[in-house]
Amino acid sequence: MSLQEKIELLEEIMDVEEGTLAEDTILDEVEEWDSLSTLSLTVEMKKRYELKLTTETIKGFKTVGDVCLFIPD
Amino acid sequence: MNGEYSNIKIAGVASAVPSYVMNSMDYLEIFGKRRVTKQVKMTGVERCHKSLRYQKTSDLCMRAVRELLTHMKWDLTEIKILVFCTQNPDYHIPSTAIDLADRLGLGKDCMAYDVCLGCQAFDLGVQTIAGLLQSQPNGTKAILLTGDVASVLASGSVLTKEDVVNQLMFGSGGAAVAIEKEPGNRLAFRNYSDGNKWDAILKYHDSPSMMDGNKVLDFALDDVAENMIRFQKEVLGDAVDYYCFSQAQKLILDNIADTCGLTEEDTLISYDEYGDTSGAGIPITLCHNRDKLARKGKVNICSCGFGVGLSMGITYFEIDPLNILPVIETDEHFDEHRKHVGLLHEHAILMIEPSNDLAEMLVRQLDRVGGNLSLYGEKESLEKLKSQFFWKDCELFTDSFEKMAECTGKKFHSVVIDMMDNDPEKIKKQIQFLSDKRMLEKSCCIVLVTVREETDDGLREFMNCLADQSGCRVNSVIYVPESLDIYPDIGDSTEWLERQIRMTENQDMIRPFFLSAAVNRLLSKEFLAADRSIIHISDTVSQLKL
Amino acid sequence: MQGEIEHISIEGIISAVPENEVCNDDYVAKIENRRVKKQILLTGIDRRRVTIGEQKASDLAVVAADRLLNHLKWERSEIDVIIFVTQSPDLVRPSTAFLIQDRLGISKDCMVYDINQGCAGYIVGLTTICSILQVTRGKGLLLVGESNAIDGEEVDRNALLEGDAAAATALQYQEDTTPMKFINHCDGSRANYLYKTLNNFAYMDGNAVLLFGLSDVADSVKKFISDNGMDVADIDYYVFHQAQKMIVDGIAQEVGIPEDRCLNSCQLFGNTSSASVPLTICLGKEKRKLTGRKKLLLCGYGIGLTWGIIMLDMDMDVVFPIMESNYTFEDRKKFYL
Repeated sequence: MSLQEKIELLEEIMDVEEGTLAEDTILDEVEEWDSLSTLSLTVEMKKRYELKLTTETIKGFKTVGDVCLFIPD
Repeated sequence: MNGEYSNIKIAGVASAVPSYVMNSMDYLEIFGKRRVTKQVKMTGVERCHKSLRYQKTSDLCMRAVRELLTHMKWDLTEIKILVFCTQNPDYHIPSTAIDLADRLGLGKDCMAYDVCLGCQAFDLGVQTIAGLLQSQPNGTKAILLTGDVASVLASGSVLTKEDVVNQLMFGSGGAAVAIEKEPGNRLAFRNYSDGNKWDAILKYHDSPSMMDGNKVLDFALDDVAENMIRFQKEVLGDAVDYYCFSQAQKLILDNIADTCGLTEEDTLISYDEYGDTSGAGIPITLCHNRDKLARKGKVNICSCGFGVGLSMGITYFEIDPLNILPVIETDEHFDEHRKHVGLLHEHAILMIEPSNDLAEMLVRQLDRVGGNLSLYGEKESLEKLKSQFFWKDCELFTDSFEKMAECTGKKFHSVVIDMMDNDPEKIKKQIQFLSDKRMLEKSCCIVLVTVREETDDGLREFMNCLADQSGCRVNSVIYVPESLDIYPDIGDSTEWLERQIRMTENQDMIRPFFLSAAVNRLLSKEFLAADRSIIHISDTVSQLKL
Repeated sequence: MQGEIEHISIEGIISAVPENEVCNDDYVAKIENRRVKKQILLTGIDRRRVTIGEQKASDLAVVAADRLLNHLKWERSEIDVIIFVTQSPDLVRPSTAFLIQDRLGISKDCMVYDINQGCAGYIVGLTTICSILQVTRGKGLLLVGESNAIDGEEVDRNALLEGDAAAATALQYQEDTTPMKFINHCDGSRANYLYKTLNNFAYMDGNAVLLFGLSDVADSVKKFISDNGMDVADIDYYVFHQAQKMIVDGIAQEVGIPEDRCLNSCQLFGNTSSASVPLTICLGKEKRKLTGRKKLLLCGYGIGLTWGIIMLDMDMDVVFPIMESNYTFEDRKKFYL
């Protein structure tokens, strides 16, 4: 998945308009980055990549870019 | 309901009690000579062991089970069931048994849960586990933990006549029973439950324990005896070496024994040394008498536990006394799970200038229920208070309010203010300050504790003012010092009550049990909607409506 | 703990819910959080039932049990054991099961107590009561129920998930039955994922619970099916504890269960904890008009952490319609301060 595709995936999960998120967007400043979104992301990661996205890892994400780094290419 | 298994072995028993011994006769002076002597004669309880403040039932059970497992040399992975039968679990949700299974290292293939039972815990617990083991392969093992804690009188307890009786009768105890599925081991049983008498021994979530002694006595002398006689006739073909009842008092046990044709030599007791130890009673009695039992080699025991419900169970089994451990004494307590045990552990509470005995007592109560406390006030007195706390992370602020704001990043969920020695104007300024510095959580509750005035009007005005300033909820608890310490039916026994008060730490201190209960309630989540409410602690408990 | 229970047949199941239906959409405005609507969508919990007044789980359980016993024409004196699995007891002591015994007029030759379990409660309860009935060879009553759900000012996002309900299951010893295979697990080391303190503060790490479902629970289900020499398709219907849609769907997908094989109830009733599995069976039967014998796999998982699975062969004709009731017994108020 390319960086752009990853960002689009996040925009879809967080239910925000296309173009709202950028690599350097700070997650804390986006209201839609909440437990609903992280749960959806966890399900996606398990479904697509058999990856476990733990609470500790989530807490470590500061920017959209951090999340994209976690999502496998 | 009768039944029998041919493949259940009671493999071992261990029990633990705290080391603090309360001698009934030490209380001659305090509770009254006549009362105490009469009670000891009736109950047969000369001594009992009491837990210090922070020991829980699980602590005693864990010590017992650890020693038992070491003795039995059991492979932990073979233990598939852990049942904790108690009326005092550590947590309500989830079952404490799950946590204990984890702490023991039993692995994830174990089924664990709590069952709410009292003196019949041993019998019904054994009977349940016996059933559960049937679906398992031979050699499968299970653990039954039983017991209930009885604590040393803590200062701050309100005493009624019943409390005195209870103090001298109930002992603290925890036990572990090792049970194994092995063919060639007979276990016969009977049980009986009378839900119609559910109200004979009860406790609501926010009430003290209540017991209708007569109902319990009737049940014991009629139903228990009758069921035992039937069991003797219908089931007990083999000889019984010893009978072992749950350790209700001497008066009751002697009567039952009489009705069933049992002599003193036939029955094992432990109430003289340990009092009534609830669900641990039968195991403790076996452990207490283990030397006597060991003289015989393997023994056939008929146990009979009866109590809260009201219900009872009878169990007949053989046991090797070499696997009955002597009673263990321990004061240990495990404290890592504060968040479950503490009612208010994440609730940052600020108490401003606790300056009198009442306020200090309140603070100690909040510490006891696990509150995350911060105290503001005078250095020496706060340090003295803190040294008595259980939780060591209490923050003290002994400088100015400004300094406090600088030192701490805390946002307080509650601010408790004792108004007795505090100036209302000063309080207004302090609340304003806290509000300006954003040190108050959104759902913060300010609790004013104050002495009754003529009318509530002045207080209401003050509460409204504070609420407007801070945007917080404000509630008050009003007490009348003289009326705090009574139950209406004390009658002519106030003397012993006063003596008891003098025996505990704070002389001439009024015991505001209901005051601290009211404050705890206002701080709890259940009362998130409480605002501008004034609670009067008045003469009778029944008027304590929140 | 795993094994097989023989000779026990489920003779009837009735669930009961409070009449008061709460619509989660109503909270979209009240809870100051724009994401409530999204939560309702993702969790799939539209509505739930909440008891009003003094009604508690035991009232609902008795209402269901009474109807069930009358329907089956069982004598009250024939019951050998009553177990009430709950985390909403009426009192601290005695076990609420005693009040239930009294209210139902069940005779005294009976073993009676409460088991403290939540989401895996039905599985644990079945395991226990069936085990005891094997020696008594008689009849038993398994009751499950919760009444901790809230409505009103204190509702927060977690509270939108919880619903109240109870269920009564009648069981009896019978020579000719398909054995029920079961497995029960617990893991106290992860208790901090999900618990309630002594005064009902609920803590939940949603993500951790989700992962627990998708891994431990799903793996256990897969292993259970294969250990029994079966395929996913061999089971007619799957009944998972209704934590919320994302978790239930996630587990089903992990195991490879087609959607139409899963029975659900969280949309209408929310997460009803120990009552969830039987309530889902009852609702599934009603909605899909199921009849005749079906092979069911029941799976409870959650608080503890605990998880358990039981596979049984059940006659859907003994699953009766869900009852709605606000009935509240007055007996517990005797000494209430």
